[in-house]
Amino acid sequence: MESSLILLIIILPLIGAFLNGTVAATNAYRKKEIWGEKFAGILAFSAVGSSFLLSLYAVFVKMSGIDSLSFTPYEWLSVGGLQLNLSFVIDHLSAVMLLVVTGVSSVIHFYSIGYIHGDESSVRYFSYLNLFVFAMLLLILGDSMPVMFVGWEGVGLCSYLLIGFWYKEEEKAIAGKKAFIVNRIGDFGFLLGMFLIFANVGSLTISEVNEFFHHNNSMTFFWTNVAGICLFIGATGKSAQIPLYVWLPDAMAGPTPVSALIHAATMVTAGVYMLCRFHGLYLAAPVALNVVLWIGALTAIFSATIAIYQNDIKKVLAYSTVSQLGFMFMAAGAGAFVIAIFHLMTHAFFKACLFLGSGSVIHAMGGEQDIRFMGGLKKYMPTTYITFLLATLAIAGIPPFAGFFSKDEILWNVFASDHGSKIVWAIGAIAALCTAFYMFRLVYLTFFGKFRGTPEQEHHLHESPSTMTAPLIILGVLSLIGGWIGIPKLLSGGLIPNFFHHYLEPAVSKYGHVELHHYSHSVEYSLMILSVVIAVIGWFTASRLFREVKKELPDPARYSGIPKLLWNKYFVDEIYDKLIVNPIKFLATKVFLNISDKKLIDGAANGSARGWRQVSQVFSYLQTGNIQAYGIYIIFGAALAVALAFYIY
Amino acid sequence: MNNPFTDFIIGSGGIYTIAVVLLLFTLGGMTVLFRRTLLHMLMGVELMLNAVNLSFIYFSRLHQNHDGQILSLMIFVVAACEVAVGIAIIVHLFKRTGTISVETYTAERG
Repeated sequence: MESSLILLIIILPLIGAFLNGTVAATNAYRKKEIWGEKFAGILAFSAVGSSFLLSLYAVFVKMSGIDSLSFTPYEWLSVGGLQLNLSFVIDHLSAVMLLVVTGVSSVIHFYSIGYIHGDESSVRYFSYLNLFVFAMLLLILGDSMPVMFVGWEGVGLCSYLLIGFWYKEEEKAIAGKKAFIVNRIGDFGFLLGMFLIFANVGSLTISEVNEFFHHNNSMTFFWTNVAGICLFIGATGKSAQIPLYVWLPDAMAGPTPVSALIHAATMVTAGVYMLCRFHGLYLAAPVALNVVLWIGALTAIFSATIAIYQNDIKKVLAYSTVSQLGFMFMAAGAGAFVIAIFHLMTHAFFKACLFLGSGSVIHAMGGEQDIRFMGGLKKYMPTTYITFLLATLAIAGIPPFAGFFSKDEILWNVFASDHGSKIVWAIGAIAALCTAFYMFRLVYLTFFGKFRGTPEQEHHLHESPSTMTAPLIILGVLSLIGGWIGIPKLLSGGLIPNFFHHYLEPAVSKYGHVELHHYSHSVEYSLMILSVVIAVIGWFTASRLFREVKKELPDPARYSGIPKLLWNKYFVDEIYDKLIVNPIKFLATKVFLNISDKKLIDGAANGSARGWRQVSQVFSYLQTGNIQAYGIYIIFGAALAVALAFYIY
Repeated sequence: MNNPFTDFIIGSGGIYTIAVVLLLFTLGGMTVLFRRTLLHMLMGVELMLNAVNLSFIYFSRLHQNHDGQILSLMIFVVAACEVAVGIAIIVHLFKRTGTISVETYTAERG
């Protein structure tokens, strides 16, 4: 019963993807529609929606009172000492991810029905979207590293396919390719980590790996940390951290619901999830954990500052996503895996809401994404405005919105944890200040003041259809109340235990947890008040600067100094081009293509062909075409054979 | 000569028959190799086949069983078929090109 339940949860999106995929292919091939976008959208939505309902049933009914459900369809491979099953497990950690992923996916599938309306290849779009959910579920529920890795690669593939969904525009196809290649680098790290772990642990099952590191870690301190860092490199690729974050801002070339689903709510959080899954390993690898902490903090501040000067509505949100992922890694690095997952969840709600809101805005603006030409949209699209504002309040960390609880707890844990550090806490606090500032800048420039676009655009401004606003409302409400399941004990005077902590405890603290230094309640209170003050400062500064924009906003081309640096994203893309991409291209074309491929390999092949042709030209004189000459050859040959026979005997 | 092969031939006393076989075979072979007309070449092939038949019959007698004789009957049948087909081809070639000289057919030159 429970086995078929897990199987259904995973397989339903795959069936949807398969049906829509074959139909999309046939439609294109026969130039005739079997079914159109409407049916495709409903099919895709119902596949994911029923998967969500089944997940709810599995998590709240079947799992009440027990720690995990598991299911092994079959033995995948058995080689020597390696026994690998295709197995899935729902424990409390994957349950949270499962609900977030299928839930947010359902909402975004519904939104997509309205958003993708009128696109010629919408059936293909829904097929990809469903395939993504399937791969993500493999990643989440897989009980062993290879199964997880299959899902890991699968979501990468779907991300590539969806970023380059409008592949006829070269720029978008290139963005897809960039995402794919950058992710490959990370995946290589993941593979190395996997090999290291297998070589030392002899098992690839996640629980056994954690058990190994928790109880009898016979791996040396050095190699344990190397394994942790290797896996984290995989996470930096997938979850867009320094130094592999560069693909995520470019990934905004994809359709906006895709940005919301894959590049904000679910796929990019896979790295955080993976870290939490391997918390047994990471708790045994303090150096790796410290690397995670610092990379997370640096990414958070780095991309938060870039976001301040971006003018593309989706780019701002993309850098904000990178920054928030940095916060999650900070939490994981401080050993507070529960908080990382908590922030992952609240972030999924408010960031999905922000992206869908921006999609609604872009829809109304007729494809315009530059916030310098928006403004005053609040009276044209009230639902979008209100939900966007709710999500902004959440991400900025204003209580009682969802983001406040998770972000405040991250900062508190970084401050107080054994693995944390006061400097990282300060960095995080500044990043939080920047977050509040750029998010309210975005809100004010988009929804307040006078409209700065063309008159035609103003004429066309309208609220989006209800298929698009309904998801916004759902996510907006979740941005408000989503954090309430994790209200710290302190705020309720210690009366109500933190439900979320309590729920995740068996899954995430199984292999030990990091102790917090003992601070008095007043310290915790004052830090909490401080983070609210920080958010409010950011809000008010943005309000002073951008609430009523009188004169035209400056052209980014005329920036100089720090604004120029930030507008150009610290020139990271250019530096990567100079330092890595161009040398590799040079190596590829000048050395490998021109010398080793064209000269060595082609030369050897063509040369041997030419040589044999010359040899055969000599022998072709024997081929006179006269049959009697051949007869003579046969006679001589036979005579030779007979003579040889005589000679031998 | 201490060679089982030659001992067998000479020792059995059938040297004359073998000589006739060799002579016939060589004559046929020479005809195939050196006559320029296709018809003659075909006749040469027949001669060679008959030489082989003769050797089969002789060895059949030598071994005191009938295998060789049965085989030679089969060779007759095959040879008859081959002649029928061969002559048909030659007639056809003559109709097409007006000549059956083997030197004109050199399409296989390398």
